Amino acid sequence: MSRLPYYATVVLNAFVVAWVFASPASAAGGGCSNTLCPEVGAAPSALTASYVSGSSGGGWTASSSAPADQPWTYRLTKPCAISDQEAGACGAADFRECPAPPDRVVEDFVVEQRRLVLPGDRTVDGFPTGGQPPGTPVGQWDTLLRACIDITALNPPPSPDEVYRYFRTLPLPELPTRQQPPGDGLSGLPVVFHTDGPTTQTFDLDIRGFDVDIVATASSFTWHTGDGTDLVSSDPGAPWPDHSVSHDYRSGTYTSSLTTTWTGTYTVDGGAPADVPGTTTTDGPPVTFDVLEARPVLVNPYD
Amino acid sequence: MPDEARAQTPEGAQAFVRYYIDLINRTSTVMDAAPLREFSDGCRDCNRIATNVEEHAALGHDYQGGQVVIGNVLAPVMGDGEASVPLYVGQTPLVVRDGSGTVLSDESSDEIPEMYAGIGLRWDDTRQTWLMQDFTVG
Repeated sequence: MSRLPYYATVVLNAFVVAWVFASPASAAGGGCSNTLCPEVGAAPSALTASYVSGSSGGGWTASSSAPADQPWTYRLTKPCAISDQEAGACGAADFRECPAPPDRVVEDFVVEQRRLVLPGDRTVDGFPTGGQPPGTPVGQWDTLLRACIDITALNPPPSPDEVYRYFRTLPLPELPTRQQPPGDGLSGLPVVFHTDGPTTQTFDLDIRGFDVDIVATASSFTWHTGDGTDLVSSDPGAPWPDHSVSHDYRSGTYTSSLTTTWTGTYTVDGGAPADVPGTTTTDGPPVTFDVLEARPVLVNPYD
Repeated sequence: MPDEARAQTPEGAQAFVRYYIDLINRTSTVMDAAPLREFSDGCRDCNRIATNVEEHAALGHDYQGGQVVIGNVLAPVMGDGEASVPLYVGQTPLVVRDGSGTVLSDESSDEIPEMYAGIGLRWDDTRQTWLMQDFTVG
């Protein structure tokens, strides 16, 4: 429920609002298959915070303490969790890009608010308290706005997008191109390609105090043959005779190289592994070789 | 829908809430959730209930009990085309059985005692009806 007058009030009150981020206990996939699903507080994966303050530039920043007698509590939910709550199929593509400096966490949220009981057995808009003590949330959640919220101060666990930003900067191996026969090739004789670099790498990162382990795996190999052809394989190839990648050349000089596409999985503080929501590539050093034309010559074997 | 539930008044909002909860109870009896979605305007819990019923129905499951019991429905807080309805609701024990009659204990639940709840409504001028926007219990 949109309540613009309340939003305006929030803005006028020095842009300070308090909020709670919690996966709604009642959301599909949240483990409640009952008809009524009472809110029982923050889910284990919930991010709880206390404030969001608006800047003059129109941005919103979260912090972790609230003024006394705060009339609302707030919940931040990923937009796709609202629009696609039943399928539960939030993906990286569902989120609006929120510009952020490298050391800030700014993400796209739908902000919902819920009344808190204030001292004096009242609420900000007269909604009955039900006899609940001050500070207790009462009534329904109302949708307030959708915005990019700076949640750095809440120190949330690294999001998939944040992990992906780190993933793209990892010093992944630039896998070399090995070709056979070594040295010059012969036209009519396929050149075999493979790489002998590591196809799995593990990284232990510290992201804002969280221990993030990333396992990067080379999942696709694009062999640039040097004659305009790109060969794509899902394996790193192998030397002859177990080869899986080869190419026929005409005579000439060629420079070939390998682009490796890396995927990854990660864990945060030893939790359940998740996929890094994107790939990155590395380009290996090029190799140049000649392909020679072999001409048949009759020889006398008894010479 | 009773005529009084189609009034953009506090009494109309209260009547609509009673009607919708009747729909929820009917849904779990006939295992047809379409009416819940018809009067949901992004109401997560309403859609969740509908999805649960549809999934169980597709699996041939059956509900016994699980009826939402309405307690006191208090005076709504009225906004511009909106209403916040305070009320008390509970739920009778729910037993879910599969097609062979076996009780699915993970899907069933004990009685939920009466709890304080809030329902957010939005008035739809075109359809001349209230729509559910949120149903928060506890």
